[in-house]
Amino acid sequence: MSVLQVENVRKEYDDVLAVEDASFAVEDGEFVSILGPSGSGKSTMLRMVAGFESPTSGDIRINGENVVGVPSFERDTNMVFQNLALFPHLTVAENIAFGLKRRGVGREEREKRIEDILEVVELSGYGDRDIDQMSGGEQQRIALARAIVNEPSIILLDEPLASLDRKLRQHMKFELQRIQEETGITFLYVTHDQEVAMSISDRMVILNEGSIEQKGSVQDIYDRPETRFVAQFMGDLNAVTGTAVDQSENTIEVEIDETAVTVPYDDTSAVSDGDTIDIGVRPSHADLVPPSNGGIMSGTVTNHIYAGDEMVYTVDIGQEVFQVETETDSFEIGDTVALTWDAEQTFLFNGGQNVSVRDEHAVQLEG
Amino acid sequence: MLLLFFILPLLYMVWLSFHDGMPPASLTLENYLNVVTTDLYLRVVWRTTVLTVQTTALVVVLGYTLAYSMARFSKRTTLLLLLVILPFWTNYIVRMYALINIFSRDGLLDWMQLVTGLAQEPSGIMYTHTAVLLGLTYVWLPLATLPFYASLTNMDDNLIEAAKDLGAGPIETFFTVTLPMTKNGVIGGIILVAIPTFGAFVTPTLLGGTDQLMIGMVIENQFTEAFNWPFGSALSVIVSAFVVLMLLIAVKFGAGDVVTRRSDTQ
Repeated sequence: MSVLQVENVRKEYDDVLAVEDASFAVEDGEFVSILGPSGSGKSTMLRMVAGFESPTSGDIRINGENVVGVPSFERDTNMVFQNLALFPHLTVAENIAFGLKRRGVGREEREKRIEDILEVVELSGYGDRDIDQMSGGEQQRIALARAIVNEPSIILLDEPLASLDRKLRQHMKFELQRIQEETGITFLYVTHDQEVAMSISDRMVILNEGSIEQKGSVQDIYDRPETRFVAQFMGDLNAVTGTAVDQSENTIEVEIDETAVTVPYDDTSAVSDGDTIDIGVRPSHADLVPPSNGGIMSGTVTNHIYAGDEMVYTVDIGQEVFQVETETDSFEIGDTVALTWDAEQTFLFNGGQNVSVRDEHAVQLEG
Repeated sequence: MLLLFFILPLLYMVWLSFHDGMPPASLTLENYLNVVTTDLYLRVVWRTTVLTVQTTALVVVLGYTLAYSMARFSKRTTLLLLLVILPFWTNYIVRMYALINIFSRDGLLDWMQLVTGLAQEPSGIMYTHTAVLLGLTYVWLPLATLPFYASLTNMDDNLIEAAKDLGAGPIETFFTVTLPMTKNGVIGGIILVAIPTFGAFVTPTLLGGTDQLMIGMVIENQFTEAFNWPFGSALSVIVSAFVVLMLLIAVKFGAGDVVTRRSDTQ
């Protein structure tokens, strides 16, 4: 049985629709991220699971039991808040003991569990410190320990890494993953940071404007985004717009500013001739060649920057600029170049929907 | 400036309290002995202490409840805050006469008690302990509500959610998180109320009269009518000692930052 089942949950504030018909499930021991831009309803979603908000309609089940209407202090969930919300008037150990005391765990057992969890988060011996004596990263781990020590069915994390600097975030990201694996507790992590979500989650739920755009494994969502929004949110994406002019058995011809581009495609029902089509290409899947070598489209280099071991070129192709990440460093600003890309790695969007996704690959995560 | 307007008068008062008449006169401890050996003055000090404790307790409970509901439940906080502060802009004496009207025989209080059947006969509560207590509470309530409100709004609401998330019900959350987090505001409010109540003389004079003598009234009397300035000074020194004691207790309870005005939250 799933630890958490969210079924057709809808949340309205006055006349604002925050979450619309969301359904997903989280299995025991999984690390699932709810990923979306700010205002997408992801925090509201988490707060409904925690019991701070009630859904307007729909069910939320924890271990099969509907918890809608159950107050947060009676739910088998614990939250790690974005600002951590550690109690400044209590010591590190007292903070961690807070939940255990409320659950009536005896003193001896409490002390043992606090000691154990401090070891897990690598803060042994810091129990008597005041909260404001601890650094930002240490406070993160205390907040995590305060939630985990209660051994809830699911830990809810509301972007707790957002306030950290990049280096510390990288470190805490792996700490989170290690602690989750070590304790085996189910994590539901809310973030707008796709890079963090991708590197630590087993599965992701992508939320946009209150609706779930896609849910599935990290690999799946990155390689086979169902919509243009997901493709753009999961990483840099160039999108060139054109018109479908001709279809054959496995390809479709798209005319972009009088250039015909052929894209592999096998679902003849999703596109009609004359439809406006966006072709999506990730910068890492594109390359530049001298114009004499042909290429798919031509353009002019307008900028180039070093990014470690590769170059990022900005190429003006008329309607839009196109980013290319490549190892080649032989082009200068103003050069006319030919663009190529790996045809197998392109996305084809018709009305925002990715129609290049083949059905047998679209592994879905049902609620 | 500090020396001229604060320290010198204080020193003069202390110096005066050890004389048996206006200087030049001989030094004596008689003024203090007089206070501790005269039944009347002991009773006055005792009544003042009781009224101070009662007023402070009442103001803390009422003021905190008011501040809490404004901070946590209300959407029209500005309007409510204005209503709380409004009495301050009204003349003190006018407010006192309003209270006299309410407390007098056949006043508003009597009328309400008769209408609701709580009392059969109009009696009024003027010149009683209750009248002074209610009067003092009424006067100081806004003063204490403001620091309570400030400390409550300074508190991070997430802390309350965190407590609930960790299994604490509403009452447990209040006593384990909200109250400790607003401790400084509460101590600040207590100081703001207890100190002026201990030295109060206008309110008890108007509402309590000679039946409800408080130490401030006796001091005023010694200076303006009995013209026994040294004795009045001795009583004033006692009041000042009480003030210093209150502040020391407050600092002892970890509210040193109230006095130095540090923020309530980390």
